[in-house]
Amino acid sequence: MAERLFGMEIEYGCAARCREDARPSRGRDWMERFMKIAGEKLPHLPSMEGGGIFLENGARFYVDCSHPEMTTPECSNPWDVVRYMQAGERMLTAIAGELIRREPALAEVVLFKTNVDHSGSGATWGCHTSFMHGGNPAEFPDQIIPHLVSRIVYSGAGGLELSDGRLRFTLSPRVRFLECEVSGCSTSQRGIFHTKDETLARDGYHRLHIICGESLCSETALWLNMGATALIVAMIEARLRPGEAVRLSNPLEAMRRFTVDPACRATAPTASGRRLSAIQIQRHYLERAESYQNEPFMPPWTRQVCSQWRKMLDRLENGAPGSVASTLDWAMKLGLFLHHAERRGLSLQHWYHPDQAMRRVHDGNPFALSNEEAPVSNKSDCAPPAVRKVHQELCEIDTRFGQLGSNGIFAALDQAGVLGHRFAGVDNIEHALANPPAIGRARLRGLCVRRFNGQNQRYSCSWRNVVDHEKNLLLDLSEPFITDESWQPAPAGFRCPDNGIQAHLHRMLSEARMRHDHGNHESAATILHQLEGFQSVLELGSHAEYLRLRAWIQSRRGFLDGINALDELAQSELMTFSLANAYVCVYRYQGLIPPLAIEAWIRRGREFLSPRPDRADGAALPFLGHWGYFLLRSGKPYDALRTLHDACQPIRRESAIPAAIARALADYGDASRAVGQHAEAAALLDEAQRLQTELHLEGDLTDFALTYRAKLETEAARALDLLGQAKAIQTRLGNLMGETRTLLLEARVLRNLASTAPHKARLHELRGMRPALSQCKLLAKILDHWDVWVRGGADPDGGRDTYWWL
Amino acid sequence: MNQLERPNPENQSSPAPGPAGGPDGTNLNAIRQTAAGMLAAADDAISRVLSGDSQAFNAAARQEGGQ
Repeated sequence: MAERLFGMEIEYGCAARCREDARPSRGRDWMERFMKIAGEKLPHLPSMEGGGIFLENGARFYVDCSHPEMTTPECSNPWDVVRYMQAGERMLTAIAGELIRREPALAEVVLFKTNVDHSGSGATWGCHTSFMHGGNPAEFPDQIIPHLVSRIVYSGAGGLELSDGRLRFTLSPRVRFLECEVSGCSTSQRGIFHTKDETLARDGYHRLHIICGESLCSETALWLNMGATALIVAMIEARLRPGEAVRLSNPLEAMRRFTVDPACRATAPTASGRRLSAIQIQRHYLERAESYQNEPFMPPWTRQVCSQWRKMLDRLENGAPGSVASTLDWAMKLGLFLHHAERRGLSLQHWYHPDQAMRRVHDGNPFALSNEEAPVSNKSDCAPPAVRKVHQELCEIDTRFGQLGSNGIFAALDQAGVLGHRFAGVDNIEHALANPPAIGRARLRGLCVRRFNGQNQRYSCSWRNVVDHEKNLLLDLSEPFITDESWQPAPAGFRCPDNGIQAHLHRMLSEARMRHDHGNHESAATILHQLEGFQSVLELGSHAEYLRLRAWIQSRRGFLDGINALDELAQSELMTFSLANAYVCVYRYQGLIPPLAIEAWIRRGREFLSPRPDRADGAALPFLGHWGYFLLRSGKPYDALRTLHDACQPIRRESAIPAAIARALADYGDASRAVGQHAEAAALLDEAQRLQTELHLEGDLTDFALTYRAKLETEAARALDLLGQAKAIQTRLGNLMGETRTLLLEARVLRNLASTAPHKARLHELRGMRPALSQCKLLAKILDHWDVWVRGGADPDGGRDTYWWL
Repeated sequence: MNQLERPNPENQSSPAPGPAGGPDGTNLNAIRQTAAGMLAAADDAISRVLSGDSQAFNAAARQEGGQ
């Protein structure tokens, strides 16, 4: 039988509660100290890739996107995945306890396993699983998507939201954040299938990276989730096309249908026209796995997974949710939610129940079934504020359910012996705390960590190797099943310990810069997050570049903390024209029009420029471009025109980067439009568009050339076409700031209140997603005067530009 | 894989402990009893951990988006 390797990475929610006000503060404030304690308490070696530490059990712990993240070592069976997950959580619980001991002000550190934020931020974070395979990656989406869509009947974590004044239960809360079928993004525009294929192994191996799942507490649910998915991966690798017969006509729609049906009876159409329930789709995969269970390409535990898989589907079919109420995460939560809501006086009419599914749920609710005299509450109806209050309590229950440590609700129920989630063979967690799995490369990694612990200057680790920087030796772990420890001379990149790490960090910075230039700010931000832990070892020049890049990227993403990065930079280097320009640049993107704070930095920039108004260094053109942009938004189009004309002089272009030139040309074009010089505007925007297209500057293309061109167009159809092009790119890149501007312009061009209602709804949503938008006065004004904006009316404040200087 | 880690296949026949519902639903009553017990225990667990101001708790536990 064939061994396989797979694992799991969990981002945990984190909040700390202080004694004085008995309310938690954001977890990020404590993360630095949390990591410090982890470094002190856990035997480890530093990670060379993406920060954090590798542990003696082969796992990795780090901070990603402000979340503590624990990744299991590569495991060869589903029992080990559950064991190492639990081992990791014991470590995190111990660190949290130590943090409280060291910080007298802290009353509680809450680490929790939900994947969605309940504060209204709309944030989500992940629990990803990775499966190594040797198949053809192109064959995976079609064959595995029906599984990912339907497995939520046992792998969903359970959750709820408030919708149309009612509570809505969902089997899988991450479904709400899936926007497409296939995507390469993981922080926005998430897809059911994630195309990331970072092998972390030698050529010939691939890595299936699944991001649509959730963190689970139930051993049975997690074990089955990992085991069943691993069998399907094995079948796809063997080119058996196990999902072919159950391909769905609209997977996203099917998933949304399945997730709101706790009775698990909802159906969705397949590509062939049949309608299948999630259980039927799962049975199809199961039967395929059973038919191959003795084949050599299947893992040695195939029969056990198939047996449990069948039992679980039988249980679901024979009375879900009641039949799994104490076994699966989602069903446990459903019981708790219904029970608590009823105790608070809410009846079923306060729950959203499509097709009476929730009534069936209630009929199947173990609480109701144990007292058939009162299946529906006869308590008085609750007004919406009461529903909102209960919703908030249920959200806290959701968070507290997955809280690590003995205070968590799941842990308390488990301790009370009232759950049926445990899975035989998931045991000996103490062993997993300090020992790597016996099969696979994690064994060698873990042994090295144990042996070299405390020698962080000499040794470092990655998923693919362990490096001895003193002797310039490398232990190559790119063969996933390597068993022998064989140290080889390190390749050139690792010759000098500092150079090795610095070269790697340089590459990461360059990659982030490239992605920023191409407009992929979200993925650039992910790289910078990975670099966070390396700030102290970055060379001075690289650290300055890191801070600048962080400032630019955060502002383009609509966050306000870019200024903090520049403030940090200003503490370590003299104020220069370039740095003043960086402030101007960052403020420029903080909203649809710049905040007033930009003026002070424009003055600083002008002070640098005034002794040498003809200066033509790299900062002059972009500074003048931003200044011109600001003048136009300040209602001074002719001043803007003069400044932008100056910016685009050939002498200034000689030392400026092409991206800055293209932006200045576009701004010049927009200023020309504002004063009625339409032919000049068209020529300037053509040149900007050509540059941005040739250099693949997609973010600037959509935020500048295409949208400015749309404003210049006299034909609505042509303008809408340009805006459609911009929006498609912005959506793909997760460019929320750009999308906001494009939606506003689209609404203005459409000039129809009814057809722009979705625009308005999305704009309200976007406004809550980015602080730069939530505090943007222009956006607020437009939304407050939506009918005036849509009908093409004038700026209520008297702005002379048709587009209210947008 | 050493003896400590190797799951014992003999132990894998059922997700014990805890009730398993058979295809015919014969164990459903046991399952419901367990679930009812869970809800009774949940009352205690929930009342012990709920902060008393869930809105403040949820707001203060605000998280940044991750992957």
